[in-house]
Amino acid sequence: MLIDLFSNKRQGAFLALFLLSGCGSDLLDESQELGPLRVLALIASSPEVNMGTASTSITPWVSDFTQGATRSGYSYSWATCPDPGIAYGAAPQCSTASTLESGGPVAIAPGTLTAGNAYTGVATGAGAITINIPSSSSSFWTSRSLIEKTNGVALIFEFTLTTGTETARSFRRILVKSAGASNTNPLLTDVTVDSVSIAGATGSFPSTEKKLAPIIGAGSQESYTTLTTAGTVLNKTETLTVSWFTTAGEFQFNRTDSSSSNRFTPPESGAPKGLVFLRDDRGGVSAPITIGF
Amino acid sequence: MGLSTSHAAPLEGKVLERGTRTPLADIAVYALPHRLKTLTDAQGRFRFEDLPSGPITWVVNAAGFLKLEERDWIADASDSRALTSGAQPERELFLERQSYATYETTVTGRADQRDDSKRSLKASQVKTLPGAGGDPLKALQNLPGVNRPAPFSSQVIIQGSAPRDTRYLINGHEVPIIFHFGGLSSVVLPDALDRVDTLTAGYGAEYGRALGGLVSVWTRRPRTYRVHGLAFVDLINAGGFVEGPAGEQGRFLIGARQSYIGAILGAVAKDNDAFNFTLAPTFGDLVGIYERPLSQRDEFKVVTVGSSDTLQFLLKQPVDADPSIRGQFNTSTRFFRIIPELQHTHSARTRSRWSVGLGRDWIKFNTSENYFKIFTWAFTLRGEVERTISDHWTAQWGVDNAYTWARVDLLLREAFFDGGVGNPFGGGNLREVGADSKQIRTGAYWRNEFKLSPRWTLLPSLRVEAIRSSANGVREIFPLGRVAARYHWSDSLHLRAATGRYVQAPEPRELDSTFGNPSVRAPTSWHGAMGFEKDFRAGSSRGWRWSGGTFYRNFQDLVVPSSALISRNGQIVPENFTNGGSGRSYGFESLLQMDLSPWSGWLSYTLGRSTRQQPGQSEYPFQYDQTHLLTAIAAIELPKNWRLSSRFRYATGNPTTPIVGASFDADHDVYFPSRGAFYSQRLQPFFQIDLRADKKWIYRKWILSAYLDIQNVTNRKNLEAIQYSYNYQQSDVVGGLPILPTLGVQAEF
Repeated sequence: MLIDLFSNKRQGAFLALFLLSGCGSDLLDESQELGPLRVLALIASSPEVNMGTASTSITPWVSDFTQGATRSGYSYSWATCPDPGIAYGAAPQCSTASTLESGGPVAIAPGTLTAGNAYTGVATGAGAITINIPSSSSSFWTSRSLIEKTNGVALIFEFTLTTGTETARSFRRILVKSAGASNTNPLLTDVTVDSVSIAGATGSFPSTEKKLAPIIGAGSQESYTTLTTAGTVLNKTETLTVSWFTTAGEFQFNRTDSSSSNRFTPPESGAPKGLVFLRDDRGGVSAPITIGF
Repeated sequence: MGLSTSHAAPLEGKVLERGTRTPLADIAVYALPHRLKTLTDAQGRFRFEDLPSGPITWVVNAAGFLKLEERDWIADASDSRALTSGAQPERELFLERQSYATYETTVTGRADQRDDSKRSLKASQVKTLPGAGGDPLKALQNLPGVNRPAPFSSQVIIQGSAPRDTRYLINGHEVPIIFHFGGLSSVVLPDALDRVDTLTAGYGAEYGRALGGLVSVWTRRPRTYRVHGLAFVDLINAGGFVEGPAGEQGRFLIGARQSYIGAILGAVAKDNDAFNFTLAPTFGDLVGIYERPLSQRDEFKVVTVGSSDTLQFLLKQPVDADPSIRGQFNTSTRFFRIIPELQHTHSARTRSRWSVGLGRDWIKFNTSENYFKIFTWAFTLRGEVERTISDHWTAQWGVDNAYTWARVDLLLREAFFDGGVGNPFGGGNLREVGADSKQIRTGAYWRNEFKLSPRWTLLPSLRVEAIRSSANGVREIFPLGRVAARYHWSDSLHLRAATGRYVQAPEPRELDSTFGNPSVRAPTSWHGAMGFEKDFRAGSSRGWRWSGGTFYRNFQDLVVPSSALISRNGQIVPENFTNGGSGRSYGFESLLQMDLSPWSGWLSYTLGRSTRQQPGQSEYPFQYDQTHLLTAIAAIELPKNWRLSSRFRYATGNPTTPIVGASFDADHDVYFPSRGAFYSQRLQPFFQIDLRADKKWIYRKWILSAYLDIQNVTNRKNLEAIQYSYNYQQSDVVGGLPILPTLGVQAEF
């Protein structure tokens, strides 16, 4: 726990942690590498809703670059349930008893994940998964504290992508609040290479080592209030994080602050494909900027 | 230069140890060729009343010292120019010890001390142990029953207990930390220490509130025969102390130390892409000791200890494994204690000893958004009255109380940690606490020592512990019976056995309604231990000693993490912790000590097993379960004050929990690990060889020392942890420290 980590008796572990953070193993895959079967993002149309909202929709971005050509097909399934207490250590899964709603398995339409898109795209094709928000009379909402209702009771959306014997599990939260302004997704409008829009230039990664910078849409970094466990109102501003992905070459950082650029070293040959997502720290995710697709 | 027949004025002098200038008593001083002889007194002084003038040779041949032959000229009594106020100038004769090595294989045995579970390391004797960096507290790792901690750890793990089950005391009073940042050094200057005690399974009733054991540091008496000083510098820190007489009866010692390891780390990290230090990690400490007798019956002492650790650094970009860890980090831990102590001798049969510890702790951590501040006032009280009731019965009555008042302010995103695996912080909830907290822990004991026969001694005792926390308002009271027995088989063989019940207060955060569970209660344990000590030296100072024994502990109601959501006061809340844990640790330990000058050394071995249980998991090896612990130390003293020493360590690899899968948290772009059976895998065994060379240059009035300590001289890559890829599908091992040479220089006068 963080308290332990920074308490007097755990400073050694703390020291080791941050030393390790700068000395990652070269043998391990990095999150920027589009390689194995994985879910990249679950983008909700409304990451937060007020109680009484009927539904929201989820767009799952997935990737299977390394073995996509050998797959015979993909399917996905999903479920919703009240948060089992993930923040407190519960497994991020909807049990049979707690599941409120579910769907699938649904076969991913042929042509959705192809060599042309590096087996990377929206699992549901042009559509999205619509999930229903529980009512205020349901057990999801009753017995919740004022703090939870004010900050948002988490509805878990579990999404499972399957191909053959391989499975990629993922989840996200939809916060259901009693009232007030709800969080909206941040907006990533562009990525620039040496201050030139990547879309406006070639639409591809640069052929030499360059700095790439995200362009953040106005209003993406929202301010909000939260009720603390002590009952006080805390004014906060979102922290935005940019996640960088590529099929080849290397970014200096896997993730950066929204105000930072990222250096990209292209591969010796080939034309890499990549995606860039922008996240706030409340479940909001931008539609990605795609590069080289 | 002819031999004079006239007589000189009386001549006085002192015989001192070369380098340290320690007065040497009962030393025969010869003046040749006159065949005159005198003995030095307790202050090393000697006097010749009627020494003939002219050339003489001082000859001193004392055991343990090189023979001194020093030519001199004794002025005639009429030679006023050579005399001082009519007297001969005072002579100082410096004897050089045959060896200035302080290293001995001495671990104080159990036979002659009050607590049979205790092992003591004399600070002066273990200062030059290889791999310990001159720190007697780090030398504890060489003892049997002390598990090998994780690298950079500042913990002492006793006989398979948890690190939190060890309490740290300075002169009997609890302190929040005993090691500086990363376990680099202890918080008390090693040269100010007399000894370090470890109390293990079956420890006595005068201590408590620790399921595992205690590490107790005792400061030494300052020397009074003159002002004495020492300064040292090595690759990590520099410091020194001054000691001497204070007034006619008092004595003092003041010491301090400051690190610069941070500057080195900062330079190393300067070009790192991921982080840099905005203020390097720094530690420092100070110690002050003052002692004086108040009367023939009263002895007063006050010890002051202060310590500071600070670190500031900046993570330039989010950490790969958990993007919520980013930005500026500041952390500091500071504390001080003032410990006055009064010993009073009431009569030949009764004496008492009272001391209090007054101090403050400051523990602060903050990032750009989160913070964690605990400011604590601490007051501890120890008192004991000892009475020899008869020739066969001695009893002690005492109190051991601790009161803390803390102000806690924190706003943190907290993540779940269990089975040695942590969930990402990004998935944790933001929690805030701003509260005053009060902890009252009182203990009272009655200890008895019955000499039933010349061979048998029985030690029954009772301790009553009361624990109360303002977090839940609950007072728990525990009567804790303990009993020990000694059997003197012969002058060289002693046997012992002990058993008892122990309790430990939950940590304050475990009782907190936000971070913990107010329903949590104090865990307990039962200890049993048997042992022996055999001295093969037959009255000689050379030879072998062997001690060993078995230990067993049974832990009940251990506080373990819980991921359940429960209903409290009609609302769904996280349970956070429960008393659902239990466990046991048991084993055999052995310590073989050798002193065959110029060779010395020890061989320490522990065979142990430590397991735990908690809901949802069958019995599993404890995180620090190390089946075999072996330490071999050997040293040889060479001519001209050279000493070479080496240490070999072997430890079974620590258990680890496998990761059997992971789930992607799309909100925070991070993966949640799925834990397999707890601690069902192990790291490879650890072994390491350390070498150390010490050299002293002895001058008349001061000593220069230097050492080269090379840890992991074979540069073996010990595997200390497992590092996972971002999605837990791949893993790699994290190596321990590579070969690490350390150079240090010390001057004392």
